[in-house]
Amino acid sequence: MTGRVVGAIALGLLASLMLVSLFLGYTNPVMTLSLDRLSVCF
Amino acid sequence: MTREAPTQQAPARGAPAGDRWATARLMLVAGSLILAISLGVRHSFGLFLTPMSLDSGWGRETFAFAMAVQNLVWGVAQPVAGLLSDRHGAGRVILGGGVLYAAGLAVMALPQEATLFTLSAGVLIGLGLSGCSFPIIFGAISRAVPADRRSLAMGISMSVGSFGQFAMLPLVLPLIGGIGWSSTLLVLATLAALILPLSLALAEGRDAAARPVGAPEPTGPTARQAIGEALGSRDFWLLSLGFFVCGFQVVFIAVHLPAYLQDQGLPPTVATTVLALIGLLNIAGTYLAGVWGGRHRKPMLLVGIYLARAAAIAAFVMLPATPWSAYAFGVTMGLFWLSTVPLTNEIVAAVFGVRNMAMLGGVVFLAHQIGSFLGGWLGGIAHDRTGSYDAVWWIAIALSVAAAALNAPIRETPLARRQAAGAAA
Repeated sequence: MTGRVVGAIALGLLASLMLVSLFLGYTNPVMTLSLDRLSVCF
Repeated sequence: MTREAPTQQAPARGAPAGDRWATARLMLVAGSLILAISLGVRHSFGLFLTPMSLDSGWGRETFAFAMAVQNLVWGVAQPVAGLLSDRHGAGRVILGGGVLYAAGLAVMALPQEATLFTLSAGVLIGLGLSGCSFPIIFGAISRAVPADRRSLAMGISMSVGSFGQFAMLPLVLPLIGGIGWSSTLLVLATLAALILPLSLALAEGRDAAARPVGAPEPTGPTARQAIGEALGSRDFWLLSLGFFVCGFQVVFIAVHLPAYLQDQGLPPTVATTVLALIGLLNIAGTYLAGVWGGRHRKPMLLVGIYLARAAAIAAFVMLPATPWSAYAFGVTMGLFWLSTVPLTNEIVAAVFGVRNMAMLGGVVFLAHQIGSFLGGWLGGIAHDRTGSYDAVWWIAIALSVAAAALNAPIRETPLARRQAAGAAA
């Protein structure tokens, strides 16, 4: 039971770290310079 | 004429319940990964505009035209792909879609002229997308999971697909910078080729959905009957018109929001942050839509989503534009971004049954794509003629209120049950 909780917390932290890293990827200067290209992504 | 109500059970084909659930979970995982790949790769195409156009000596129009063709081909081909999926099983259609998708990306990677680019990026990938996007995946998953878990399953798979969209841009951009656009497209073609083995997990027998345990012949309406019933159903039209509005708003905002924020004097970093917030919150929004769709009336949830969008857009355009008002708009719109997708498809499944779901979901999606086309286009026209997006923002608000009104009277009762009740009366 404890192992599951620890595993879930570890997975949650890992997922959060990944999402934050990806989010920061959007705010880097290269992405900002590419703003005009993002408009045809959707 | 009446017919038997669609089965509310998973499409058991002689397997014990435990095995069926294991198969359903495998289908959910594979289907979600396919959505993450197919939607994610497509989401990154805009990043190729400048490097490909520069190297090939094109103006922006060539690239944009191919993307517009892709969206139209995707929308028009979706009902046909859905029909094939309902008839021959999702696995075969996803396999074909994956082959076309990967081939389209590989051809895109070659040095080329505009016509070949339109054929690869527009036609091949548009067809490929129709074979491995959500109407096909939702159709297969809906046939595999019990009715009471269907909404959750759609929410989970759409959420993973949304994650693919969110993750792909920051991953692809440095790749283009590091190895060039051509090699990056080959990497994406390899990624798309992973759809092929994943499609095996979604293999269904011929007419699998229509054949419950022990039934020697398929039950439920044929494709021709189903499309006739759907087009004759007020609820189907209301649902499709509502989804048209979703497409209009999403593409208008995604395409024109950065320029709008720039017009308001905000720096480009605000626009990228807002787009990132929309992508991030969309992951949560689609999942929550799946969870709530299993507990509440789905048409009323759609009413709430469209009213919330109307309120968010109205507040955004009426309040002074600041970075924080833009971020608040991004968070709100992200939560209600693609959350309409699982709910809309779940209503199709609930009312019309799962046998022809991929085809009918494809028809509803065609309405979405027409809205997308108009949302992107009208934004440009309005800005060119008036120098402002104000008129289109107010159109988006009015359409949102209209979509809420359209979804409110939709009934979730299975059509077959209504017909049976009508015949008995």
